Amino acid sequence: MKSLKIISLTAMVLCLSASLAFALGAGVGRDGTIAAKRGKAESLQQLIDMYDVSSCVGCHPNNHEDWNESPHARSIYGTGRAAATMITAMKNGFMSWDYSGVESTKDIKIEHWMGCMKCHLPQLADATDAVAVELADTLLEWYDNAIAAANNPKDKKAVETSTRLAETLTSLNINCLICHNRNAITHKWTDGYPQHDTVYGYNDGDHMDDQFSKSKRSLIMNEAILCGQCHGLGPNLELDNPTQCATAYGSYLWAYQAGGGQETCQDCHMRKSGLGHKMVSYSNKTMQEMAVDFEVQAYASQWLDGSTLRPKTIVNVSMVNRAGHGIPDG
Amino acid sequence: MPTPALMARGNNMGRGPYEKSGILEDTALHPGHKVQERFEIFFPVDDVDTPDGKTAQVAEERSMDVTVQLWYKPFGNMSSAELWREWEQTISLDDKGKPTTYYSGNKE
Repeated sequence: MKSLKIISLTAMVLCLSASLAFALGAGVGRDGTIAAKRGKAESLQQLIDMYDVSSCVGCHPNNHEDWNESPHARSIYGTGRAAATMITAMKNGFMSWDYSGVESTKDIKIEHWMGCMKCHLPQLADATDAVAVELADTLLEWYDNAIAAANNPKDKKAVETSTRLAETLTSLNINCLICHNRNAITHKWTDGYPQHDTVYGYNDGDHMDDQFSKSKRSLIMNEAILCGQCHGLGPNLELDNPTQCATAYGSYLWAYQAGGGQETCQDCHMRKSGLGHKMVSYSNKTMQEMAVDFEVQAYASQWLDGSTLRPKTIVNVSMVNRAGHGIPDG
Repeated sequence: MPTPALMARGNNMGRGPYEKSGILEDTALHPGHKVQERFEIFFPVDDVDTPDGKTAQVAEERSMDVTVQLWYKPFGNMSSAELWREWEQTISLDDKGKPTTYYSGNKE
């Protein structure tokens, strides 16, 4: 009888292990990731807390300050325009399609959002479907109140609500832990899964932080593929309904590197430009100077059209793109 | 810039990322490739009576200010557009103008 109980218990434990492994997916060390250790976030606030980087700021103030100026710091809110585009993607996209299964925001699941959030908020994959609904409702509530506040700046409730929700949306971003932990390893079966207690950079050793006490070298931290995870090959064919946003990484591979280009994204956008974690692009004067050789030659010529003189100026413009991808991208 | 294909079918452009798949054409500057653009800007001319009793077309304005600007337009229009380069020069018909057998307005 006792052995039967043990067998039953063992069987139950095996079943639980099997179901846990199924939920986590394949791969050794996957159970050590931030998402696996903490469990899926059940609210936007839990997701913000799960990837909280406030402890990084004390020791890395310059990097934080630079990052705070970057689009990464407001990857779904942007200037408000990005957030509005998320709403368009929702309304004109999966809420309007016959086979998406979405009729109202309550039907939205994480996978519906991943067309945008694969890159704008990759950690959303570490949240439950309830968070997908909350994100949709938050965006809509922000937008309605932002419009109301713009129309009537004296509408205190609209101003307060839109400001508060804009802060929430801005708190959902591509921060230290996305590049230096969650997305720091692309080849996880080769190099292992990013672990919950480790920051990934250029060195192995200790890291002076209670929660992230280890530092480990990421083999792709200075490689273009780190950025390429989000900056686009073309259609995201892994999705049930492919989306396409940036195509810079595709251009980098098939135009720049195919033509012998040797620099990485980090070489130009961080090191040579001196921009560090600002990582800005077309709006930055330094990047503008680095991106294009631009020459103009102009002269006058008096062309004889039959017996009629047609004086004209001829302007020859010559441009060479020195960036590692097409300009503009999109 | 890339003209994205609408849902990867036909020749319609898709604008929102949720409907873009593929590229119909791409007018971007591509890495390492030289792109040259040539513009011809004609001087305005007036009909004038010539000493031999004929009529000729002559540019009364003998110079023009040429400005070439390179703009980065993230949304394809002037919204959030960035001026990357600006080149200005005054081009004169008379810099290398010589008397001709045709009445041209060139200085003698």
